Amino acid sequence: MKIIVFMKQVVNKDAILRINKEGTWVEEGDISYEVNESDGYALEEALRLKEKHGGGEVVICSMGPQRVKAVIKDGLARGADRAIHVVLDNLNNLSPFAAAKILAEAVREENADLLLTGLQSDDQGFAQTGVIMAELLGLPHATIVIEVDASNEALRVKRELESGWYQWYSMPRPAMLTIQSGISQIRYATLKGIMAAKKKEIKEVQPSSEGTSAASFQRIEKIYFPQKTKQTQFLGGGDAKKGAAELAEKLRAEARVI
Amino acid sequence: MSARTDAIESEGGQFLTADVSAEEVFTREDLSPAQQMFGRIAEDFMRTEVLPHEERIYNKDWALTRELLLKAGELDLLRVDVPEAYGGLGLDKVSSAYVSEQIGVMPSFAGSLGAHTAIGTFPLIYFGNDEQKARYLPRLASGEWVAAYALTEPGSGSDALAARSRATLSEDRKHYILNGQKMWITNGGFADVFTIFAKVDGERFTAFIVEREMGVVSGREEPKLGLDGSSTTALILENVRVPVENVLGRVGEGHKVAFNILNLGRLKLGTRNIGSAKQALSRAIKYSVERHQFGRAISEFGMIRQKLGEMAVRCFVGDAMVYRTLGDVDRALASIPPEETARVLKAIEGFAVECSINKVWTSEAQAFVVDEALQVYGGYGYSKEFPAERAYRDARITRIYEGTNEINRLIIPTRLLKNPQTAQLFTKETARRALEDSQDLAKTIETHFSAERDMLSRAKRLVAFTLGRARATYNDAIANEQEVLGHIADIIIEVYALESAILRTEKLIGAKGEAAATIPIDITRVYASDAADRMEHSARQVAAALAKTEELDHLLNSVRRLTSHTTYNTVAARRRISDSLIRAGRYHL
Repeated sequence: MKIIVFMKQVVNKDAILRINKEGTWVEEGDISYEVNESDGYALEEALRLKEKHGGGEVVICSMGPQRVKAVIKDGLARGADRAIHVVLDNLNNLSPFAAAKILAEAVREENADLLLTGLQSDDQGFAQTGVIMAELLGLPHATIVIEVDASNEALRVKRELESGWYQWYSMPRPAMLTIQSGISQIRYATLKGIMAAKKKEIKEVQPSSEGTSAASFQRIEKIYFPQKTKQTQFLGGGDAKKGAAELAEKLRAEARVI
Repeated sequence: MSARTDAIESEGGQFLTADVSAEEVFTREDLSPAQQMFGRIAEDFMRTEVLPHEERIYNKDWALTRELLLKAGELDLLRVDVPEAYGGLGLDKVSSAYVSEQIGVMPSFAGSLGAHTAIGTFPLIYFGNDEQKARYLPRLASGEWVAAYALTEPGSGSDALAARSRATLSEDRKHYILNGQKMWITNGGFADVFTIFAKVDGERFTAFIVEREMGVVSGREEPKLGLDGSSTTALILENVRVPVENVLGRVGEGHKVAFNILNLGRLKLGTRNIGSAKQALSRAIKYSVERHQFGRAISEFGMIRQKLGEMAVRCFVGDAMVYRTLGDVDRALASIPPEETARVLKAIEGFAVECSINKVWTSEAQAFVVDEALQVYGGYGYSKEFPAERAYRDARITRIYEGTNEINRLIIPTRLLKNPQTAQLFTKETARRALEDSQDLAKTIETHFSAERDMLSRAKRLVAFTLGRARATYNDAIANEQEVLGHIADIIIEVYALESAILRTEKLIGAKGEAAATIPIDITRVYASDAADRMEHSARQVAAALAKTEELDHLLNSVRRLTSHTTYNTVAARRRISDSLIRAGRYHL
C-alpha cells in the first residue's frame, strides 16, 4: 500500500506573533515553526496502516520554502520512507484551491492507494485543501476521520459528527482522508531514526505553471489582531423602569446570557 | 584540514597565545539539522514525559525514574556516546552535549541520566576490553541496566587516590574481595552496575566493574540541599566478590580511569549547567511579565531589566565557551578511529584546561542566574510552591562535584605550567616582555570588536605576566600559593570567556549580518566591559602578592595599562537585551 501524507509547516503555537510592516502576514524573522498538529496524526495513521498491513510505502508531501525541510526530516525520522518537497517561497496567499491544485499535480503520477492529511491547518484553517485535492484527482474522500479500517477491499472509516455522534463510512480505494487530531499516541522520532533519515530521498519539485497561475486569484489584504474595545451605554434615559427593560433585552439579544 | 586537525590535537590551552578567528570556532549556531533534531527529541521527551512528573521524581519515586530511563533508552538518548559496535550511535561530543543541555531542564533527572550515560558508562567505553563492553554496553545503552560511578569515600573526596577501600585476591585467584565504603554515589539507590575504585592489597589503586548482585549494599538516601529527585547514597562493600575478569583497565592504573572520566564528565557538564540556567531565566522572564506591582509589570522596572539582561549575558557567553571547546574536541577526534581509546583520551586530555575553565565558569554562571531568577520572583521565589526555589538549591552542587571549583581553578595554571607545549610561554622573560611588548595581536583580524579584541590581546599578555612572574617568584613551591594561582586562574577564565563571546558574535555577524546580531553585540560588549574590571582586580591582587615594595607601583601601573578600557554603557545595553528577552517571552539566543 502506498500512502501519501500531506504535511504543512505552521507557526509554533507558543510563538509570540507580530504583524509584519505590510500588515499582510506575521513577522517571520524570529518565530519558530512546527508541524501542523492534525497532519502529525495523519502521518502516525499512515505509519500504523503500513505496519498493520505488512509494508508498502509512506511518502510525505510538503510545500513551502526550504525551512519546510524540518517537517519533512522529522517525518522521515519517525519512519516515513521518502518525501516530495514542493518548493514555493510564499504559501500565505494561496487559496485552498491553489494549494490543492499544486499539491495534486505534484503527486498525480505517484498513483497512491491512500492520501491522508490533517483536517485543517492551524494557521489559516480553511479545512478545504484535502477535499479539493480529492476532487481534482477524481477520488472519493472523507473528512474528520478518527479511525481507518483498510483490511478489506473497500475502505471503512469512522467520522466524527457533532454532539458525540459518529458515522462509519465505506468507500472504494484510492481515496483521500482528512484526519482528526488526538486519535492516537504519536510516536517519537528516535536518534537512530534521524540518522536513518539522512539516507532517505527528498525529491524537490517546482509547482506547475497551472498551479502558480491559480495562486494569483487571491491575496491577503490585511490581517490584524482582534480588537478589544470598551463601550459605555446609558439605558433608559433617566427612567429606571425603561432602563431595566432595555437591559433585559440586551442581555437576551446581544449578550445572550438570559 | 588534516594539518589543522593534527595541530589541534595538542592545542589545548593554546588560546592564550594564538590569535583565533571566528571561522575556526564552533558555535551553537553551527549545530547541523541532524544535531538540532537530536536535541529536539530530548527536549520533547523532557517536556512531555519527564517534567509533568516532577513531583513524583522529587519524591524519590525511583521506579518512575527507572521507567523514564528505559523510555529515554527507547528514543536512543542513552546510546549517544556508546560505540556503534555495542548498540550505540557513537555520535560526536557536540551532539552528546547538546542532548545533555536539553535534559538539563530538570537537574535531578539530568543528574540520574547524566550519571548513567557519562561517568557511569564512560569507564566501560574507554577502558573496557571487548568482553566487558559486549556484556555491559548494550544493556546500559538500552536503559535495561543503570550505571553508577563510585570513587569518593568518607575520607577521600578531592584527594581521590587516598581511598581506603581494599581489594584482595581470593585464594583461588578467581575473585577480588572488595571491602570498604563509598560516598555520594549518584544512582546509588538503584544502579545495577558500578565502577568502583579500590586499592589492591591496600596499595595499587584499581577500577572494578561491579554488579549489584556481587554484593554491593546501598546506604540510606542522603538528605541533601538540592537534587532531591536524584538518588545519592553510600555504598557498603563487605566481602564483595568481583571476578578477576572485571578489573577495568590494569591493576594499579585506576588513577587513569578516575581522572580521565572526570575530565570527560567536565566536557559535557557545561551545556547542562547552561541548560539549567536558561530554563531558570526563561521562567523568570515569564514571571516578570505576569507579575504586576505599582500598576505595572515588574519587567518594566530597570532593576529587574538589569537582572534579566545580565542573566542572558551569562547564558550566551557560557554557550559560546562550551560549544567552542566541544567543537575543538570533535575536530581533534575526527582523525582518530574511535576504537583507539587511548588516543581519544589523550586528545581530550589536551583540553583539560578548557574543560576546567568551562566547569568553573558555567557552574558559577548558573549559580548567578538561579539566584537572580529567585530574586525576580521576590517573596514567591522563597516559596517551595514556585520553581525558582528548587532551581536555586539544585544548582549548588555544580560548584562542588566533578572536581570542586577550587580544584579546577588550581588545575588551570598548573596544567599550563606542566604542559611542555605551553610551559615555555610562562617564564620570567616572557613576563617581562609581556609588560613591554606593545605589539597588537588583534590587528590581523577583521572585526566588529576592535576595542574588545585589543583588550583581549592585552589580557593574554596579562596572563603571561602574572603566571610567568608567579613561576619566577615561587619556582617549584608555586603549588603552595593557591590564592595567587586562583587569581591567575580567574584571569585565564575571563580571557577564554571573553574571547569565546567575541568569536561567537563575530561568526553570527558573518553569517547573518550585523542587524541580526545587535543583541549578541550588546552582550559581548557588556561582558567585555565587566570582564576587564574583574581581570584588573585579580591582577592587582597577584601583583601585590608578588611585588617587592619598591616595584609595586610600577607593576600596578603595568596592570592598569594592560586592563585599561573605556566603560561601555552597560545600563542601556542590558535594557536592550532585556527588551528583546521580554518580546520573545523567553531566553531565545
